[in-house]
Amino acid sequence: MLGKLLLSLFAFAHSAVTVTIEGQLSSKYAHMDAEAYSGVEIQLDNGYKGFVQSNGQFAVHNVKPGSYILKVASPKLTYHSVRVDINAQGKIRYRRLNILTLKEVDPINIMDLQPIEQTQWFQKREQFNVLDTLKSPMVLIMILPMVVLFLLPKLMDMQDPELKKEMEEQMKTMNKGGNVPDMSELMSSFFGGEQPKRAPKKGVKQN
Amino acid sequence: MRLISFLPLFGLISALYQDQVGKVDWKLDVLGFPKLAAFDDANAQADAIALYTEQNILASVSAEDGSVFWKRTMPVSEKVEYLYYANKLIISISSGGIARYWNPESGALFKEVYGTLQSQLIDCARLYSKSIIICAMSNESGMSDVLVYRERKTLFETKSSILVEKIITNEENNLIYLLGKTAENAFVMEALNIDDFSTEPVQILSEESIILREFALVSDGRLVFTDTKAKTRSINLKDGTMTDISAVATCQVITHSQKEIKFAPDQFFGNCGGIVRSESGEVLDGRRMEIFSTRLGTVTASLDAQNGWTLTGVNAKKTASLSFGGSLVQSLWTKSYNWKNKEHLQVLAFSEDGTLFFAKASSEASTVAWTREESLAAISHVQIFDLPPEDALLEDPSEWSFSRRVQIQLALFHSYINQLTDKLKSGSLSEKKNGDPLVSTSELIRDQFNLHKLIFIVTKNGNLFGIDSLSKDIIWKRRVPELKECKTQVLKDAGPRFKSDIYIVGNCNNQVKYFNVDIMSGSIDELNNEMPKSDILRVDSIRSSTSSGAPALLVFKKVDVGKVGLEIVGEIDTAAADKIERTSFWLYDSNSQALFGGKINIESKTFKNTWTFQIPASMKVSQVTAAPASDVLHSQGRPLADRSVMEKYLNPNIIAVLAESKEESDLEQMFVNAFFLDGITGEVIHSCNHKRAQGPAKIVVAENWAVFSYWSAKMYRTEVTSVEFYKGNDQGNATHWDALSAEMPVAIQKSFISSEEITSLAVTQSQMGITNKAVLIGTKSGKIVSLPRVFLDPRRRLVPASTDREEGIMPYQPELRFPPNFVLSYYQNLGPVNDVKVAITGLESTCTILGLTDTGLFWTRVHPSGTFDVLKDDFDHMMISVILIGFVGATYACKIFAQMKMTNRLWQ
Repeated sequence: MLGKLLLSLFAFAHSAVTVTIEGQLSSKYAHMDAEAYSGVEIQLDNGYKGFVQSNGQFAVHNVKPGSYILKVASPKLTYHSVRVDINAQGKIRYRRLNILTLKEVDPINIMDLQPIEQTQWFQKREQFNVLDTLKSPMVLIMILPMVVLFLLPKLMDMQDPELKKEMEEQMKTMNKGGNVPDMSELMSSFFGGEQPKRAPKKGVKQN
Repeated sequence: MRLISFLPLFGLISALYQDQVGKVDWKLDVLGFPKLAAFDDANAQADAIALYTEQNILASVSAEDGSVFWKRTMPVSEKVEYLYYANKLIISISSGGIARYWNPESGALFKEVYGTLQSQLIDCARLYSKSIIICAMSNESGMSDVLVYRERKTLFETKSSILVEKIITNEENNLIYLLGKTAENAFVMEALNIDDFSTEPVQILSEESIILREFALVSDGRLVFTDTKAKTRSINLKDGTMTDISAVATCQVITHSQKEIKFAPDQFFGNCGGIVRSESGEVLDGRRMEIFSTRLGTVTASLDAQNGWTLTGVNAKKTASLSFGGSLVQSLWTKSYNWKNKEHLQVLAFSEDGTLFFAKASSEASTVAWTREESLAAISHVQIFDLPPEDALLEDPSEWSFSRRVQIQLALFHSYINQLTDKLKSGSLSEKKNGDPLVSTSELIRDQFNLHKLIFIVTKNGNLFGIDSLSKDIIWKRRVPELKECKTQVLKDAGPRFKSDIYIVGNCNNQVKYFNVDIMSGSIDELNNEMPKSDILRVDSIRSSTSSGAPALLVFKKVDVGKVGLEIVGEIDTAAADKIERTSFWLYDSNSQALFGGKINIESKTFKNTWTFQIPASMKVSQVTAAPASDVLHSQGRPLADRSVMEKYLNPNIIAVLAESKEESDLEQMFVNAFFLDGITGEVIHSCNHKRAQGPAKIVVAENWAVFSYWSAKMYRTEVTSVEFYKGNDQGNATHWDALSAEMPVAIQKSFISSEEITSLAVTQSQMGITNKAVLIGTKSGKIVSLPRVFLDPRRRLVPASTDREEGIMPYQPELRFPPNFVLSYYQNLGPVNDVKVAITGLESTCTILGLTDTGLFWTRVHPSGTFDVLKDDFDHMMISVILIGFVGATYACKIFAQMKMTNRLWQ
């Protein structure tokens, strides 16, 4: 017993104790696909690393006592980094990495490392979308007056004769003042060769 | 989170789009110098080849074209000792006895098997017929543990009563023998039962201690071996009798580097200084010979007079001859298989110049199928060169007459028509372009935006490469053994417009080598000048206007401790001498850790040392650097919110020295120091000290700022410090920088915590300096991150002032995160990035970068401020044209309708 103790003490003195860090990635996103973890690496400081087996298990071998940051380098998913502390006896403590302080202990289950999200390596291309055009402020500026112009009068009670009269009067004054030109005339005057004569009456409907 | 919400303010972060992957970037995989190789055991053509290299990389390479299926850098704590490829699995066994089963094509790790005690691996052997691998490990008791790796079953562990030194398997009668010694140092043999792996009684072969060196198993049941005392003996494995056969052949028994058992039909071969003899003493071949055991039998390869190899297959009838580029072949691996009743051979050869060859040989034809340049794993120098423009543009436009201008325009038009017709003929015009959408032509001429470059690489073993940056093809390769293990420097001599001569100066074991290189064709001439031979610190080239040929060299060398001498190679005329004598020089001696500054005198060939900066011996210099010569500063100051301007300290001669303590264990004694010196006066303009910190420390200097990183040993994290130098609020009126009258700058400094371990730092560059700078960070985890410099602004405050937003300063956050869309190398794992090289392009917004790792090169483009000067590649030309045509059409339609309306009206 004493010999064993001495032997182990001897081992600490030379820090010959090395440990194997074993863990498992959560299979949540893997869908039991044999290739799901291909290219996923478990990286520790100082070049220690491990590879992930097709069942999500990993092992980092021959790690000397010390404090390390364990990172899961995955081409698809982002994982929390883990602070791994190994004491001289080879006891391992895992906690969620808080890079700002060493003291905080937020334990993490190394046997079921959960991904945070799918890593967004790329920018999304802007695509033409009708909803997007509606969200544009220019479109809003155009549509709102239309609503005011066409919908509001309809919402008002047209049965009220007084209101009707008032509105008609209003319309009359508006029509008097604004000589809104005909769209087609405007166009033809812009692009047509000759200046067409203005029609004597406007807004005459053709049968 | 606060930081993220701040991001939209800086909407200039230009990440990659998914569909751009592989268009603007590429990765050139390098594996390194192969140590182990394995072909598929099956009696069929191998599709993949397993390789393990000196760079600690395990990889699977396609036998079709040599492309890398996958590669894995193994952990530093282990080395792959044995490599097998059987039953569609690549099996690697590492030094700790860790067996990994890999999928040859996808690289998925099928399983990882390891014993409870990971001690030292002694020997492994494979029994093909049972698909098992037997390994012996040393254990604490001085005896061995025997591990049996079974493909579809769990690991079997047992203890041996001897200390195993060699494991011998006999395929013919399915036997496993463990050879080794007992506690009393007797040479013993122990047989292992194949069914339950129980050990049989130990047979003592010899009372004296014998250590096996190499052995061969002869089919008549004898084991022939040489021991460390250079004696050759044979053991009859059936009865355990040992006979001394030194009289017959005192040669080394031929073994394969992979320590597998050699089958020789009925005899063994001895190799005496390259001459191979059979047991009876008959000389098989007068030259170097390699003997391989394959599943089908023995294949031999012997070197013939022309450095080619003659291969003899298993049935020993047909021979094939192969030549591997004339360079000496260091190692050779082969595989034999039968196809259509004929024996075929696949041969992998690694030559001294770092080329990996793969050849297919049969009785009819033998050809080299592909080659790989593995010397790129050890690069000593990299430079990115602009391509020369079309011949017509080589002249200076200011000298053009009108008719010449017309001629040139016609010539350009002609070359454009030629390109177009070529595309039409080959039918590639309508094809969707795969490559870089901004590069118009794949020819080796300068493109419109100068994005297409030539990468010039000198490797440590003396190979020179010219690589096309568009296609990642190696355009030329030259072997210059004189440049082996040299510190090379490339001098660009400003020749006529766009055409500059390139010279390589190698500082090789304190001897200067001088070459002229044509960068486009790779032709190399050695310039045999009288070259100085001593401690060379720095070499510069001087072009005299009167002389033609190679420019003269200024060679600064160490004469004595703290004394620098000068030697001049070639002629310097008075005009050039006058100019160069007014220039200040600084140089760094890495041996004595000192920087020297001063001026030179051409006539007396002396260096007048005006200042020396000695770094104490207690410190280790990590890096000495200055801002890149091409660094252009656009704005001279920084406008503040109160409408005043903070003037930048525009010293172009800042030298940054980063030094760390030599302390390894005591945390309190560790530190990292950064010194900023003026290159003319040698004055220390700023210094900072970080306690409880150590290397790896990296620094980058640009404009009026510097960024450096180091490892905080106390907090177990990488920290980054950003320093900016300002002059104050006084606007100077000087047209040039005067180092002697300059005042000390105001340094603003802030440190951040990096979420990644940093292995290299660089900075983006642009032609005019208008584009914002981004710091290019190479990480240990194999990423290259482009971090906009606003994140490293030392004026970021913990408690933000109301004016900060106006000035574009983010609130201070101690942690510097690298969001995934800042990662230029996206999901690729490049391996620790050693260096990032930056090249300026013709586009102000864009620069091209080359990341260097031990396992390859990575090329891509960076737009630190977005692509503001070029249309986005998703710009919809189609939509714009359709809308335009639509409008024109609609106008005409309107006209017709208006006319119709008018006519109708007139009819009324």
